[in-house]
Amino acid sequence: MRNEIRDELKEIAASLANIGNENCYRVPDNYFEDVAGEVMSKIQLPFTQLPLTPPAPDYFDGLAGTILNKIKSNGTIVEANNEVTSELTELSPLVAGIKKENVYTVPADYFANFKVNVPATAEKTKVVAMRPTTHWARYAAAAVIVGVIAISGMFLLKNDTAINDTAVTITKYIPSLSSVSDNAIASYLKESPANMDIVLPVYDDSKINAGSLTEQLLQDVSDSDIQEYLQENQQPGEKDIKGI
Amino acid sequence: MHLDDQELLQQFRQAATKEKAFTAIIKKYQEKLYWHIRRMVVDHDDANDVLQNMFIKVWNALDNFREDSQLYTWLYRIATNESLTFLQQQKRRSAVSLSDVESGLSNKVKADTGFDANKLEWKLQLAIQQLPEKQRAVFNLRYYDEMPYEEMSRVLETSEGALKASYHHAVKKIEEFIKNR
Repeated sequence: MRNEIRDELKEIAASLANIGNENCYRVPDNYFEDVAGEVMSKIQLPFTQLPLTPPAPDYFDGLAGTILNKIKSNGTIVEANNEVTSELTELSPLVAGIKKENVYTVPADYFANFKVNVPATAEKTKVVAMRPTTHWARYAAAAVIVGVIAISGMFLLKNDTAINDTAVTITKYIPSLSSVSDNAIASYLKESPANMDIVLPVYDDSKINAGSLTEQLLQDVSDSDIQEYLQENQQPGEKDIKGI
Repeated sequence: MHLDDQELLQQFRQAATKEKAFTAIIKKYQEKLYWHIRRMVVDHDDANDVLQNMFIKVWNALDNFREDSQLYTWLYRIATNESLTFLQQQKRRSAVSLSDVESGLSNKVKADTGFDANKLEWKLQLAIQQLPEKQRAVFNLRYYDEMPYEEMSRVLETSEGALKASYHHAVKKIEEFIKNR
């Protein structure tokens, strides 16, 4: 058959018959792999129904509605397209006149091979609760706190007891002290101050603050005695000192 | 067999069909979203990165998608936001002004293997790159995706009036750019 055709062509135009019949057109990669699926999806039939099988029992029930919906949705698209085009023509005939051609290119098979590397954890990120403190650590912390409180309490109680003891002692002796004269008490205190909590001051603070220590020491010395002392002990180069 | 978005979402919510449904969603929208992103970021590798990130975000957030809006609109919103974020990050990284980023995009257009300075279609691409980012998104959605303003307002969360004005300005700027070249 092929030879017959070639012979026929030779008779009509010998030059044409000499040109090889190699296909010079190109199709997109994997086009023929996907075309069947695409066609089937366009006619809205499951791929498995290729050897004709009867449609689903309720197919014809919904058919009219499906077709109407398709017509309506297509109508919307056309309307939208017209709206966009007429709007653009109104705004700028120059821009509207430019071919809406996609000038960018993508690597071959980009969309066919496009994969999203969903993170492995994407199944559902596990919400890990903060590791609860182990029981022994909790108990240890509680024991330390209780211990500190208990020891502090014991110290406080001990001090209170000491204070109370002193108070009891004083109270105990108060009635007997009332019969002792003030002089006897004062002389006792002078003789044994170390036994008392109260240390008797050598100098009264109020007196120290009122004047200088020198003034206090010379309080009982008369002015004339002082003058005399100074005159006796005056160094050769020193002038008279008036008042101290 | 193509399932509608609602069926895909139902399948996505079931553990057994989750990945299959997600693959179907990708297959369904990948090209439209890719071109939307590509027109924003120009470079293919950048567009691929943005598209990948965008779908990963979709995977993580799809469980919480309440179907108040259409899946298609929601995906476009994520794609637009991801593109804008990418451009902002680029701007911050290079610490240059927005105009420098735009001229950078123009350079990327010129670097394309198929670039032809005499072709009106390429001039249009250069003109688009002169537009501010958000105005570029408005122009692309209207001009290439032929998206109604109502839908666009849901994608960009802007009023229809503002979008109309933005598109009007964009077209005028593009016309001026082409006339002066």
